[in-house]
Amino acid sequence: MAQTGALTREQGAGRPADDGRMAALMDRYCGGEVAAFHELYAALAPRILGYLIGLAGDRATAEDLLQLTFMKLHQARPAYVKGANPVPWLYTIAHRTCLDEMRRRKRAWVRLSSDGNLPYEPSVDITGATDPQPSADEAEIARGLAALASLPAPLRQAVLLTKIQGHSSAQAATIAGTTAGAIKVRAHRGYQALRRKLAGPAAESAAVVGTP
Amino acid sequence: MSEVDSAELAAELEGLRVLQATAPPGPPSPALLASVQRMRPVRTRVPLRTLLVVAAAAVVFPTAAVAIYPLRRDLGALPPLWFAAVAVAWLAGFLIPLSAALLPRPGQVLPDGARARRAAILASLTLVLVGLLFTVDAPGVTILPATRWAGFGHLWWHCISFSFKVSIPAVLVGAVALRKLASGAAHLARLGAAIGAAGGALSGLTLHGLCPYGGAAHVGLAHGGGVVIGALIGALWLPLVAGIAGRAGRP
Repeated sequence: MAQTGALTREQGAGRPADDGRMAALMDRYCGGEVAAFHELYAALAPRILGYLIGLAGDRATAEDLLQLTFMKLHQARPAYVKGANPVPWLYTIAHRTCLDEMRRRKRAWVRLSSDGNLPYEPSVDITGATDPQPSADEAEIARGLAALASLPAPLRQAVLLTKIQGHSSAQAATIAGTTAGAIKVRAHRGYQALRRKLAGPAAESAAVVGTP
Repeated sequence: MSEVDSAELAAELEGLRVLQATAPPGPPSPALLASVQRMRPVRTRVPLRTLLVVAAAAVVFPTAAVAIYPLRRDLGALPPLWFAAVAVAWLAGFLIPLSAALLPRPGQVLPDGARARRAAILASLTLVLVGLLFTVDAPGVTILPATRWAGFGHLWWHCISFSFKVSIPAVLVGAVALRKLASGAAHLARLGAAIGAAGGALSGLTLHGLCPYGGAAHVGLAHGGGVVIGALIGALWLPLVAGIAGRAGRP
């Protein structure tokens, strides 16, 4: 599996140099430079796709939402402020696009089976032959997504932005339209809940018993 | 949690960590590429310019009112320091929410919705309380509204409708200026609340100099109430108008 979507704070998200580069690219994009769009897409699409997969629960939907997000960014270029970091704005557009699309489709965030997990959907190759079993990575991703999908939306967003996407609390707060303190609390609660869910039912019931 | 083996937990958390790792996204869609190929340079937003445009829209009616109507007749009998201090409070109620709604933090594209909401709530509460608690009347000169509900309600509506003429143009112009933000209705509602509250506060400032009626209840609920109602109008109308204006301007 390619590891292109992984991005931690140390690797770049929210670093001033990265912010400056994105701002310069966005300036050129607003100036009508097609190459700047492609550079911006190459730099940001993997991060946004990772975020949208976490929100939407499946990759195919997230790919559609990614295209819609960049289309909205394209249409919203006149609202850009020269020299500003476009990354939090793009995340906000992605989040909004996902909510709108989910509402439009009038369906649950993810379709879970009766045991609370994502149903297995066999992948097919170009000949139409099915893959008999999901790979270990696919099974892990499915478990992670199912656990994430079970969190309330604000906790899910906070966990995705801070623990998985590597944004600082301040930047996540800007994206989510709330305060850094609220993001910290939501991320902590969400991460604890996620750990319990991923650790299995025994850990969840132990946590419930231990709750005062 | 203590019953769970730590090695097993570490393995389980891998399920979360792999969410970071996704295969590279597909290339831009043909529709997106076509739009990009056709694009022309755009004039980007200058927040300070937006602020000045919205402020100008809000100032039109108060300027006309000051030119047309006489100043309040008890002006000479009121304590000058009190008059100036309350005017500063109304002016701050105009400038702070308006700035919060339209000026992003340095390096950001979007104005901070949480800050705008806080500014709208703070301005609304503060200015209602200033009216209720710190109104000073000049005995024998200031006209006090009728104690009966009908008379009080009539004057309340008179001053509230004055505030509409300040808040509504500001909200409408703000909606057009912010129509391309693509930040969602909830964010726009917060910005709208702050712009509407600012309009209400500017109306309050104007009435502070023009309205001949005094009394804490009138000033708090009619002049201060204009801030609250302006905030509500902004929160409801700005996302709606911005959505309509955004769709109208799309090819």
